[in-house]
Amino acid sequence: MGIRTAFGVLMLCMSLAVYLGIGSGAGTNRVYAMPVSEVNHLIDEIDLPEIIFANYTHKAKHWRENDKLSVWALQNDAGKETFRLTATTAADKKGSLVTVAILPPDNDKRDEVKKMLDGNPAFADLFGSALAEQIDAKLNNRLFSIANISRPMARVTLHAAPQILQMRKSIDEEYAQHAKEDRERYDQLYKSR
Amino acid sequence: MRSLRIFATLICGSIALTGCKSEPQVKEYPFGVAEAVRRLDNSDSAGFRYARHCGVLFNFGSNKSDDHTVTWTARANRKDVLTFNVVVAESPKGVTLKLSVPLERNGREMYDGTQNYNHPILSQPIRPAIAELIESAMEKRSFDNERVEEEGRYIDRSPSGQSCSYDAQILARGFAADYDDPPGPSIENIQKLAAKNR
Repeated sequence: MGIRTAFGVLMLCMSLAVYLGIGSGAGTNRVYAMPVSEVNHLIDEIDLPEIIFANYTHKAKHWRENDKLSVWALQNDAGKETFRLTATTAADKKGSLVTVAILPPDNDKRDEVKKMLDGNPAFADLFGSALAEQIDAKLNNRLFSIANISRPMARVTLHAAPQILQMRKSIDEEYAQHAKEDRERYDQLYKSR
Repeated sequence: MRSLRIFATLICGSIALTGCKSEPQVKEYPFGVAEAVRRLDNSDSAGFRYARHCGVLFNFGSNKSDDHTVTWTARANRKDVLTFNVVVAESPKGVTLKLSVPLERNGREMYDGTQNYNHPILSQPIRPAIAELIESAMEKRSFDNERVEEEGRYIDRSPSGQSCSYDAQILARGFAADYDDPPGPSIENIQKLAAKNR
């Protein structure tokens, strides 16, 4: 086995390990040994982690729906809701159970976004894990740790690979087309002399 | 005693060898002279011109000067503005090639990367690009500027590099520079550009 093949196999194994869950990933259901009211209070104080929601953090609208549900509606530049994140709190034998979810918006784009989220579970997982990690950090009085969401981040990267390749292909095709047209224009200058 | 002698021999040998310099290896092609000349004369001159042009339109092509030599000539305003040739010589395993580019009055090769022309026809330095023209011809493929050694691939850093780039931009709008014009764009081209921009 050549060194390149060996390296390729190693990379494949590492990717599979990450994909299959061997690595750090923030769970979306967690139990905290504190009362629901206190958990709710702390949840309502968090900001969405900018490192993941860079395009949305300043445009996220937050409200508490009731004593069980906290909602963040992420908006585009036009102020239209694109999707929403929720944190549900419930009393548990050991304290409070917090469950996060990512949902389509409550508008005409609902079905479209739902389809997009269903078709891209890695992205939904990353957003949910990032929110769960931010809540966990707040409830444990520590900083948000990117290492704790490394697994969903790796999954997003792996899922995006075909799109990146497709993007690269289309850029190459566009460049080739542009070069062809440029060459034709140049040759035409000689023909028209 | 014996080991001391060996050590001394090694030291002296190393000192003697430091003065030696290996000659750059001349590439050999496994063809006969006639085949090499035929391939060179069928080079992708149009591809070369397209990849390396500035803003002057010029005729460019090759011909067999004799059984061992191919000469490329660039003509603008009905005169030769650049020529170079490759001489094919027989070698033990085929043939070797020798490229010659004429010298300017300052004693350096034409388009060597240091020359200044009012309206250059090609971006400098041209020798690495000619090397790729020859290589592509010997491999019977199109000229590929991406294979030109990096230093001479894209940016012309010669004194007339800016002129080359400027003329090329105007040519891209459809207006060629005149080889014999003084430096800078002609009044005529400026007027045509202005009319096009209106």
